[in-house]
Parts: sequence; C-alpha cells; structure tokens
Amino acid sequence: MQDELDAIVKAIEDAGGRADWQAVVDAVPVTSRQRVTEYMRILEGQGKARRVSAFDAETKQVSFYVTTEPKSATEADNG
Amino acid sequence: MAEIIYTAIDDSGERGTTSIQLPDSFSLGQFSEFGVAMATFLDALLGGRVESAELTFGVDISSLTSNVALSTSDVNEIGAFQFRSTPGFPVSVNLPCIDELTVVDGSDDLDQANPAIAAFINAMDNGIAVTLGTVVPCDVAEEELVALDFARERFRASGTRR
Repeated sequence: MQDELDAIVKAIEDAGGRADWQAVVDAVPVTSRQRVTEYMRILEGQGKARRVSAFDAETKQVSFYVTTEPKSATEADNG
Repeated sequence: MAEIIYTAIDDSGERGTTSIQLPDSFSLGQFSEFGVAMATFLDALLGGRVESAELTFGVDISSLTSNVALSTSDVNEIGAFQFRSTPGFPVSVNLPCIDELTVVDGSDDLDQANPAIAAFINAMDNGIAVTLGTVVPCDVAEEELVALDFARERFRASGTRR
C-alpha cells in the first residue's frame, strides 16, 4: 500500500502541488482504484496530502482537487 | 425562505407533520425561540404529542448548470452512503436518482474513483470551503464524519429521502 501512497503524493507534486482527482486515480493500479478514498484519508492523517472541495460565492462554481499544500487560514474548520 | 416542520404522534404511534413558513431574515437563535414558542402553542392545541421541530431553509440553486433529468434517471435507484463520525456513530445518506454510470460493473459498489462520487464523499468527509471557513457535515451530536463504511447502489420504493 505504501507504493500507492507514494505514487499519489508524487503525482500531486508533479502537477505542481495541486492536481485534479483523475491524477490520483491514474497514480494507482486499476485493481486498487476502489481504495483511492481510503488512500487519501491515510495521507490526510499523515498530513502529506488532502482533498479539497470549495465553493466560490462570486462565480457560484465548485472545485474539487487534491493538494500537498497546507490548509490556509481561511479554510479553518467549523470545529 | 425558512420553514419549521413539526411532527405530531398519536397514541397508536402514527405520525403526521405540518409546517410553518417564515422569512429567512432572522438568526438561528431567533428561529429556535420561535420554534419552541410555536411548539408550546401546538402542544396546547393538539391531542397528540409534539414529537419534533425541524428548521429548514430554502436555497437558491438556480446557478446549477446541466441540472436536467436524464432519460435513464430513476428515483428508486439509490446511492446509499454510510459514513461514521468521530465517536463511531453511523450516518446514512441516501441519494435518489443515482446515475447508473457511477456503479462499478458487475457489482453494486459505487465507483469511488469516479470524480463525482469522490467529490461527494470528500464534501461529506472534509466539508466544503466557503467564504471565511469550511462547513463540515456532522452526526446528530455535531461530531464530524471521519470514515466511509460503504457506498453502494440500492433500490427502494418511491418516497421522500431524508
């Protein structure tokens, strides 16, 4: 499993630290793709990568991406 | 617009609901006070027991694009998700009209590699970053969701999904 985790982090970093979901899916073997959510959750626990869903109130557009960047101050949890 | 839905239960255990519409220009605290006050009036008026009061808000979703019913859509095809919160409580979300294309071939599993499925799971798991914060769904005790038990297709009779 470590191979898959490393491959996901590398794919995100290769994309400049922010990648779309397909990059995560493409980074793991086809037989492991149903476990990509589990892999991402492990990486989030390790603080190595995270999934982000965001809404832009001005354009009313949503985005969903994966990143190795730390949380910004404006992304504070609701507690 | 906001709405408070009251559920009353009779002595045979059957339930009925009624709702009261309200302008959405008040605070959550004010709505709660109104909700308790109106429940008190209903309690005096009804023979049954006022079981619960729920506050709902209408949300303008007119900005959605491609929001049409596909010819293959079926309200009885359910996307059944079960999450687990920090203390381990299960939280179920059942989505009517799940797109058949999100189901793994030869299985009833929803495809977690599918971007639409993955985005929904993450929005439940980690919340959605909005203006000046991140709103994260929770269980009834307001504990955050931290795990996904399963995501699968299920079939049910028509009706309200909550």
